[in-house]
Amino acid sequence: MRLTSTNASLPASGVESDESLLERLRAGESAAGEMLVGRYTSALLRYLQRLTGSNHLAEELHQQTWLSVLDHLDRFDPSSSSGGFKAWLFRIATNKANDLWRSRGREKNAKQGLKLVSDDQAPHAGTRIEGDEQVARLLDAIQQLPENQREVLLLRYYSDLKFTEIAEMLGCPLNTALGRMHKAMLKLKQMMES
Amino acid sequence: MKTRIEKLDRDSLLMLYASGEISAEQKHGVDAMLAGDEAMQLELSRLIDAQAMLDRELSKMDMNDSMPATEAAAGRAVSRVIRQRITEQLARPMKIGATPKRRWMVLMYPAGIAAAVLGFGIYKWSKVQGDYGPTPPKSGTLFVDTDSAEIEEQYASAVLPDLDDSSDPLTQVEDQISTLAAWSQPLQ
Repeated sequence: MRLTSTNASLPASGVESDESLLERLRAGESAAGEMLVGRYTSALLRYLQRLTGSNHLAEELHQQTWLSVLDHLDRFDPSSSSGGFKAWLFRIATNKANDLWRSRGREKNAKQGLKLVSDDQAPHAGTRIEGDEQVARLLDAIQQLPENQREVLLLRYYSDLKFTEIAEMLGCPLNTALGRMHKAMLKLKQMMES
Repeated sequence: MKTRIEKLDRDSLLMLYASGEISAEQKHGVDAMLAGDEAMQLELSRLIDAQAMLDRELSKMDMNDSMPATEAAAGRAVSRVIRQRITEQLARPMKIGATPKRRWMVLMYPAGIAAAVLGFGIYKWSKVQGDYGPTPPKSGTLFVDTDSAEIEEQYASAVLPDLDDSSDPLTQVEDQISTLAAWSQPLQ
């Protein structure tokens, strides 16, 4: 096992590309994998936390997502998707979350189940923000959005992918992805103001 | 990559415009549309307000709210799993990149050669059988049993009237009827 980094060619910016790190990971270099993890852990954890509304599930899905990346390293083709590795990573995370919804029944039941888990195992994030009702209200409002609108909204904020990339990732037309975002934003604003 | 904005409805177009993901040329086109449409201007301003509010509140929320696990801890946990996985995979004789599909592809070549050799052997064997064995009937013809054909011929000659092959059988029957009619006339 090689744990030390090799002399991989760096782009002009000095930051090694995700694809190059992935190539090294394929070759068995765990250090490259650790660099990739370090690059996306924060955004991915936040995304999953907001998507599921549960810290515990977010951690679990985060780990499952990376395991899936390791299992399917050969399937990733940088030329096939416009968002590159980041879009692929977030798609896996989204699929993992969707699998979880499905395994716990339809959306409504799943939401209730997740809330129960969240309440049991970790206090709701909103309750920790004492004195900031606005933020707590936003958290609740996000959880009340329909699943497909919440996905687009959170992907946009936490993955920082373009709408064209999000649409491609979710397998829907660009118009649909933009429409979901439009509805989600106005709905959130309305809920916050009410 | 240039987005095809003509396929977008008004709300989606404004969303894309507000996010700044359109080219300068497309922005120029949307600006022209906005100039003559007050309702569209109002919708855009609502959207920009909502976007600003969300940006502000989400970042405030993320600052105040702790991560599910601390970033470092989560990273360490995953890194540990990666190291473990790679160690396991390297311990196996197969490379990380080799999928079962590729291994199957490797077996395809010897299997193809074996099939070709077998096919050639069957062809040669059938040729040898053709030279020394019974000749199979040609396609489209019935298999003829010589003995039964002879029996049928004898039966036909014994039972059927002896008709002249050269004349029409119908004419011969008519002749026989008229002969019988001539015989029966004196009886009437």
